[in-house]
Amino acid sequence: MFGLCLAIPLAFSADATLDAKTQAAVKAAVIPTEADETWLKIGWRANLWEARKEAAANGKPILLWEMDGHPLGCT
Amino acid sequence: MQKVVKESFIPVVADDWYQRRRQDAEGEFFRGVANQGPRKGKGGSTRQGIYTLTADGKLLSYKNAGQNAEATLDAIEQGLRAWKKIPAAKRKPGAVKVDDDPETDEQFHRSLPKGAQVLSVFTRLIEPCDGGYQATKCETGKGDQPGRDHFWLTAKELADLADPNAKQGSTKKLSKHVLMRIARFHLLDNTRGEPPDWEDDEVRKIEIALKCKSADEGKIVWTIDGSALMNTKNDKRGCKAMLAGEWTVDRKAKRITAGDLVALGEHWGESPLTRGAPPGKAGIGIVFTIPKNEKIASQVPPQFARHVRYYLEQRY
Repeated sequence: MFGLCLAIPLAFSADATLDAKTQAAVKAAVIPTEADETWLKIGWRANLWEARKEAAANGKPILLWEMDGHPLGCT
Repeated sequence: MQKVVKESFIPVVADDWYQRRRQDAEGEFFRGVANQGPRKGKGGSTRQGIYTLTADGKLLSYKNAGQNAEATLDAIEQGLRAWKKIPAAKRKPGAVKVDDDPETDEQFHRSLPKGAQVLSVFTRLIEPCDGGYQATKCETGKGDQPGRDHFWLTAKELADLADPNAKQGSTKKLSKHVLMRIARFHLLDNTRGEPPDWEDDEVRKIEIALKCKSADEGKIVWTIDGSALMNTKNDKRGCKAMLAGEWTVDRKAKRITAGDLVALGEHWGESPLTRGAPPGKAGIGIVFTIPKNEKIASQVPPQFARHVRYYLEQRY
């Protein structure tokens, strides 16, 4: 069962303009907030080989998050 | 969970599409780890999931967790228990030796081309509110988070933006490669997963004009204005958008140092991997912006750069 977005009014109309004020409003709505990016505070590395070297040097195990589509670059 | 991960692990992320294919030391290492668990990649299938492992390649735990926090935590706890069972002499710093910088399989290892610049691209379904916009309310995992991607501009394209002849009032058109890169791979709804890119003939219109707002010895400020329309032949999926913004370009460094490109429009339809789209046409906002962490951003290729020439020049 797939979820649906709950509200769908249009954001765009033929006579709309994308002036500086509107650009700022779009950026405020789109760019992730600090709360959206809590998961990034973990300090993910993006190179498995480098992570291996770091883990070996520090005597720690590795946590690898592997996805089809890069976890730091897609939904 | 964050505290445990930060203190007890070296956390790393990777795109399985590359990792399961690459024919080099890193690919062999990863597949060797995955083969110890249930995801053996039969027939080239996915090996995605949450893994905990040792630096020398022993699998400690595995969960096909996706973005499920409880399953991830379970994998972490199980991994830590397994780690602590390993003799201390094998766990201590320096006990494992890892070769320096092995050769990489360039076919399946993407890095930012020399002299290129990466911008972050964020996408959300949005709706008007009180004179501004807000993110459309979506169920968890179904568009509640922004779509995230990266956009590359090559050294040649940046040199064009740093045009030595630009002066206030002069205009510039982006190259066809840049226009089509923006339209085909970035003006789409990726908030619920990975949509297909727009085919060449599905791009009905893409126009972006730059006008020099100011120029001095050190920098050029370009204002950006444009519009785009993409849709499938049956119009079941499409996107119509206005584009605007401003880029400040350092003439010497040939880099965008400030400013954003903003798209505002409507998107309709879905694809097999992006089910759950709102019915009809929904507002969409897309922002191309300078990344907060350029080092990490440069290590994460654009989603459609799996075939890099196709991404940059739209040809194989």
